[in-house]
Amino acid sequence: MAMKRRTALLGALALAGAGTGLLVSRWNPFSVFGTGERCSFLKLAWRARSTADYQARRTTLVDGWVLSESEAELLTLLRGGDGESTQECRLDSH
Amino acid sequence: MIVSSTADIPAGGFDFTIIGSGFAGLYLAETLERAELTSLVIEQGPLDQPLNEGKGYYEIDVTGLDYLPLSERLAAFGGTSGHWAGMSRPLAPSVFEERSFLKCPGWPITYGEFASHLDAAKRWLHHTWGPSDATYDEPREGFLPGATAGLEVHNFVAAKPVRRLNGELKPWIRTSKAVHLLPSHRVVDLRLDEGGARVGEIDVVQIDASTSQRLSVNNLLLTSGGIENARLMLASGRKLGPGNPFSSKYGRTGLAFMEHPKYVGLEIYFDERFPFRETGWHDVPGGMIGLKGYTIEERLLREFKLPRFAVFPWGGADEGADVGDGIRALDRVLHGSAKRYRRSLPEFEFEQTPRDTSYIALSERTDRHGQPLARMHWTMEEDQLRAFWKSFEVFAALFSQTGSVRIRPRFADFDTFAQTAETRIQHHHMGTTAMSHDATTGVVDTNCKVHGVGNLHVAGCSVFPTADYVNPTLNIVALADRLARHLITTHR
Repeated sequence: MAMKRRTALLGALALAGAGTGLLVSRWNPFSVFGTGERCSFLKLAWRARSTADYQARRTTLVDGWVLSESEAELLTLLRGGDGESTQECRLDSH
Repeated sequence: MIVSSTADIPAGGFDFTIIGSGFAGLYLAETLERAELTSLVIEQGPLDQPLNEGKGYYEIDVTGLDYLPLSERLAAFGGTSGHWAGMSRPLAPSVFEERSFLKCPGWPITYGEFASHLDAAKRWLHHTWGPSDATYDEPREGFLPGATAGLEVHNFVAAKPVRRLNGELKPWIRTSKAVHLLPSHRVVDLRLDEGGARVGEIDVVQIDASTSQRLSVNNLLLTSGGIENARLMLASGRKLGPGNPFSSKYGRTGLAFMEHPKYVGLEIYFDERFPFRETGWHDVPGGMIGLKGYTIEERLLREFKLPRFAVFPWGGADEGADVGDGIRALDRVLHGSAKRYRRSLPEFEFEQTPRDTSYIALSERTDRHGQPLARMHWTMEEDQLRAFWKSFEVFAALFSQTGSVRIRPRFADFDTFAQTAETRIQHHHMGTTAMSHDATTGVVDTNCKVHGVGNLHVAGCSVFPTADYVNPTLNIVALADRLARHLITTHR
């Protein structure tokens, strides 16, 4: 289930980020850039998803912070610490 | 009129003798005067300066949780409220209902019976503003960016500048013909008449003297605070044995002591979009200043079985807090930029549900008048602490939704919280002579008359059966108005 959700998250990021210049690099997980309308849409979609998590009290502690489960998953992706290859995390590759 | 000794008290007696000149006592005296009823107000402190701590009259023994010295309980004309910061908010309707999920009784009167006296109390305190008549609430839209369902903003208000009512009331009492004030005198005993169902006399001692004088009373109003009301009743009942009416037939006097415990449960990091300054003291219409607390909706309190509480984010704030790379990365993706944060260690102010394991009793130690000191045994039961812990968790999840804050718990788990958290206090002494339908569950009836004593009424927050989390003064005055109306009706 967790894997499915993760894949869906990755897919959502990839589709929304395609051609927008959004880049998530495993080697520099905090260098995230986004421009353009589609990227803005992506951010809004993430806000909505994250807020829905909070409302349903799907929260978790990461490094001591209270995060929604979506935020926690995104943070894991950004950090690239889940065994995924750099290629799979490069959203501009689609 | 001010009299300096019992010898100066005019013959013929008064309709009412009032013990204590705090806001409850003074409101009653002033309102009864307008109905042409006379009062003698006995105050252990002097007219101007509070009786200082060195005299030991407010010394107590503490056997439960740590309790700081009672330097905020002031024996003086105007009582502690004469030095109060003015912060004010009405009790919520829900605290009048039974909340079985908290093992919390309701009040034996309806919210409506109480709330109809709030306007009189607000006028007397010069609190002329409130977004609505019944509550001080306001919509959160437009104030809390991104706020979603579940959160509420609670307003507290105070007159600006804070009005020291004891200063305004001094000229009145100096010239009043119907109200006599006897300062620097202390009531040390209540004495039942021969029938045993009314107070016939009281013993009064000048604060620096050692021998007492006996005064007859017609009707007695006990308005000397959440500790002293119970202490004086217990001390007066001691010689009468078990089941005496002062200790209440079922031994209820002194039980169910309540405070407003405060805990710092979370670190909250506010970004630059949060209207931080407006949550501290800020101007509101009507020459008032306001203060905002954040809490969660009543339906969620019920869902999660939580007591009422609020969080005041401006407490302990500092600038430029570092949230670390992880949070900055999330900010970039979710909001487009990494924000600067301001850190706050806000206090959660909680309602304490009444329990008999918290109480005021008599100490073995006595003061220089031979009076037993009060012994405070204040405790917090595990289920109460667990409800506080759950409140941190639910509030953190909901407040995080705003997107303008990041939150971190202060304690790793419940056990660490329960064992190491500092319990802060508000110096709000409530309960101990609770209002109830009958003597098995409380001390005074719905008209604040002591069960089993025909002419003894109690006013002040010692009669609160439950206490919400809010400052008591406005609510004390509203209840004093209710009692005054009742006394005027029955004594005309």
